[in-house]
Amino acid sequence: MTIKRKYWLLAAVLLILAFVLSGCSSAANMLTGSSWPGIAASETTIYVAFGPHVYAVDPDTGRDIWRFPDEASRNQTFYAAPAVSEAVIVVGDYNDSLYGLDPESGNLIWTFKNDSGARYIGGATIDGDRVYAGSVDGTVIALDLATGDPVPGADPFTAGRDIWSTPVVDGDVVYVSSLDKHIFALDADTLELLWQYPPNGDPGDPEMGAIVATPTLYHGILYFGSFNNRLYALDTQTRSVLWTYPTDNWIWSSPLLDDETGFLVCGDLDGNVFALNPDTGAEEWRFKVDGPVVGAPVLDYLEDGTRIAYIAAGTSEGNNLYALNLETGTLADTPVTVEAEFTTRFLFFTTGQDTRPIQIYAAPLIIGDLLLLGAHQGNSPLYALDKNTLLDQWAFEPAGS
Amino acid sequence: MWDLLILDPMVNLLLWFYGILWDNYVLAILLLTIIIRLLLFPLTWKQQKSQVAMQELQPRLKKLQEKHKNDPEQLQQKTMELYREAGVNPLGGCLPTLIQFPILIGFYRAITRSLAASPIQLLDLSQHVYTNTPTWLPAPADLIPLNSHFAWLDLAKPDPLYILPILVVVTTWLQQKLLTPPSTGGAENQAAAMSRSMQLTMPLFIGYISLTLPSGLSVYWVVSNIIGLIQYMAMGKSSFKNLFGTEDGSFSLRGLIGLPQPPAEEKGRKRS
Repeated sequence: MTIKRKYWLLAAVLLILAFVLSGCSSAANMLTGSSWPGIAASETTIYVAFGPHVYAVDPDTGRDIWRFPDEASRNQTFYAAPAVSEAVIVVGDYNDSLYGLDPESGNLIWTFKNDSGARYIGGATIDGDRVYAGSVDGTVIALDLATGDPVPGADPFTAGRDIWSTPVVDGDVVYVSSLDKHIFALDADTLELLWQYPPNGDPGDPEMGAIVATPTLYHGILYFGSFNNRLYALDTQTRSVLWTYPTDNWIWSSPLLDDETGFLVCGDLDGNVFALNPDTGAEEWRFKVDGPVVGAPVLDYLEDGTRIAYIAAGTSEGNNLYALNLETGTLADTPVTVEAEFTTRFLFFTTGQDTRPIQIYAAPLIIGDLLLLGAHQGNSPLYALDKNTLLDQWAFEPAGS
Repeated sequence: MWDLLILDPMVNLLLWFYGILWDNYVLAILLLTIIIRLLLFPLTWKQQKSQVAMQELQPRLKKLQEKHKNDPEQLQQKTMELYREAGVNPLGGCLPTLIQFPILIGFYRAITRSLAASPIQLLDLSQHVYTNTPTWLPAPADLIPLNSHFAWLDLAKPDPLYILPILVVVTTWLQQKLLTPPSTGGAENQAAAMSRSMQLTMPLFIGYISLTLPSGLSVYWVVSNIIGLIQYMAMGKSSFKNLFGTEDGSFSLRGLIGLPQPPAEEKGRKRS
């Protein structure tokens, strides 16, 4: 082979490599591939944050009522679930800003831009006239709901690492979980640190892992899972752990507490779903689904009064939605018909265009008779099923997408 | 298969090295780079050996080209005979390079996967970390999320100051320059022109790519290039002759930037 041919071959190979790497880079930077839709709802409207817009969707038709911003920007995307109030919708973007929007029109009311350029992955929380939100640089802020201005006297609190969860407000205390492996209790007025778990130093919990999900607060107990394969029950009064429950893999999902059955239901990334006694952490039942459980289980009931939990399994290969009988931990006897692509009690969901199962990482949401599923892939970011028949009602396909 | 054989081992090695090396991701990349270079040493050694052999054949090849310039078929036949006689495989320099590409792509994917800056990436990572690790190794879950910051860099993002891309260009160019012999004689043959063109465009091209990739990969690239240079020099194959393009290794700006040296008589005339 001559030198010339050899160099041409090398150039061709390097060119291919360059395209491959550049392609990988572009894929890595495709923001629509960075997370799943953030979904929230009022009594009459569904709000979806996904890709370049936040959409208000009519639950009757599945069509968008408005979108924000009007024109998509290549550099702006949304994933954080909107926080909904009557006066303002608050949503953070994947850049550095929180937006206050008019729920009726989607018009921009205010913008809060952080100084560090940190993304908002977790949703904001509205409590009275205040908004609390955490960003990926670990900063927690308190804003005035009406104006978007920082609350006077509430200096931002900064955790050691990212905050991907939604703050939980309980009276005068704001609880925040962080990837820095801590739960923080902050003063709701000043954002000063009241306490943290694990406490710094001895007797801290050296085995604590990163905490991604929003904790579930019930009767003064914080329930949360960690990447150390454990579910925790943390007493906020005594600031001590009541019990921990070992799992097979990381816990990403927020737990669901059903006060009627008294069961705490959660899942791990191995697809194990388990119901525990919230007082003791004792296992009541366990069920295996096909993929990682990321979104929180959602409580519902069938027409015969059976209480069920919808579990989304983020798989692209098998079944991806389960309805479990909360009492028994078995597949609920849902009144499905065979017209849709079901197996008998769980759903092999169709995207409408093809039968490839979609990945559902977002927690399902129920509004009226609709069961809403946010999809990470597929033709639509949002699917609506009739929760009584589990039949496909509509798929939201943003105009112009 | 790709995940099982290349990507997952790299991801988990990066995580373990990160835990062992004081939670320093740059050190983890350095160590893994050194290990990869050691593993690839037989290939790179063969590649460099082949390259040197090809260099030694150049004068004879040139003679053949002149002799059979009007008979391409004869030229090809004689060229192949010369290769056979010298025991040189013309693909010997290219194949090892090709084999290294999956490693490079795997390293790139391992860096982006292990840094996991977004929810989808972190979920993806969760499916690829080894769960049953020996107790003397750090457990991946204890390490995640990794600290991707080092000096001014966020290793998951391109270098905002462009320092690493510049280093990538310089070290890649330097490595190519030291590996490539100067063009002999004053004749501006096509192969020499091609060679000079490659020496300049390839580093620039790779530098351009590194502008868009996570800076962690640029760290790998720079370190890998430096190790390659050291390895080449340690093998005694490197010389200032290649760098300056002169027969005696003396400094020449023309040679440094890849222009051919003027013929000896011309040099002599200029000196006199």
